[in-house]
Amino acid sequence: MAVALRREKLYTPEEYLALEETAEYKSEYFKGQIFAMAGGSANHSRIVSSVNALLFLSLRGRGCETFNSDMRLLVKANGLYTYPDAMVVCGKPAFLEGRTDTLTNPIVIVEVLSKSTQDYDRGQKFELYRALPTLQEYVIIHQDRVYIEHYRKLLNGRWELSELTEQNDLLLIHSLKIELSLPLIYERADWLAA
Amino acid sequence: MAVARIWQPRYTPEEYLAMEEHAQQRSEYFKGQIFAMAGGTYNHEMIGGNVFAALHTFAQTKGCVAFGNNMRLLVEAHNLYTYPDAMLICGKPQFPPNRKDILLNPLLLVEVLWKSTRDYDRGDKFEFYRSIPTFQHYLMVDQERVFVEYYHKVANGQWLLTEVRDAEVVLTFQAIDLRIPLRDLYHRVDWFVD
Repeated sequence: MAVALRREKLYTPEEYLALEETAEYKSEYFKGQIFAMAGGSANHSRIVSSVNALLFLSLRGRGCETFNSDMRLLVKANGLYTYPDAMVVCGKPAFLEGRTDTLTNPIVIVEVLSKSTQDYDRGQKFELYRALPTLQEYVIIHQDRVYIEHYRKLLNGRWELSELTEQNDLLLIHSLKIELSLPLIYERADWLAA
Repeated sequence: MAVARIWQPRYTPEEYLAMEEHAQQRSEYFKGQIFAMAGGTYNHEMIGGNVFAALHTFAQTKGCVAFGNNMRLLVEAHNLYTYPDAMLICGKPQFPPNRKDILLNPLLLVEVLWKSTRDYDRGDKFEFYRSIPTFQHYLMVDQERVFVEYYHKVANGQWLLTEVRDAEVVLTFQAIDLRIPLRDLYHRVDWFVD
């Protein structure tokens, strides 16, 4: 999701977390700076809803759960606080000490791209996410056409990128042993409005 | 390399190419727009030279040709004209009809990452590059720290990402007999303190 505004002052993580509790919109935090997250488009919202619904249904009774972008993520290794479009945690959610609103141990992260942040999500943000020891897969979904970039961590620490471009492709999330069908992910996407 | 300014009018590729012949500064072209490329920094030039030297040495024994950042590349599927920081072509260089200043068939592309365009190089630009049928290796070298991201194509639509942050590592390019020590890549680079 999008990063739009930047305030000039540098903040501590504690100041950022306190501000977030009363803020009217969500912001990301990295290295002292606070970045307001822009609102999404209709397609963005539709795809995010579909993915969260599909993950929720697929993971029922399997000891894993999905969180939507109401849940904040902290990457402890580099201090990024952000709200991914979807996250999956298997086993016990590990929260930031003394809180229940900031997760630290996702196994899967999903981002639906927006024009203004599609390079950030695939560049620096992915680099910061890779520092999460628990993260096994990162799914990047384009909202203006059928196109998914699916990253998976291999045993040797390398990341495998698979591109999905066909209408009827299946997204196989290995670490969760589930398949999501692209027609369902994109079911309500309106290409004219993209 | 960097994208600095946008001229508002739309140009045809022919207009862009004609302008480039007399321009004092190189520009990228994408979807009707012309983007001036920023001048280099000391580190950028050092790394670019080091990469070219390594590729040139390799090329001489393998029937390949290495190019530095003066050679333009056309990504035909996206109509992107750009100047990668270095390219390697094995086999016969291919050009568009009647031109010798635009290459079409790189095997390996190198970008030295630059603050303002590092996410573009890892996001959209890499996506565009992936549409080139001959393209198999993508090396991104950070100029502000020892950090290399290397993608290698393993199948259609499938790439492997290797990250290196250790100056003692020798980077091995899969499937071609090319090894570049990071020491060589970063030779004479200065770690300026901001």
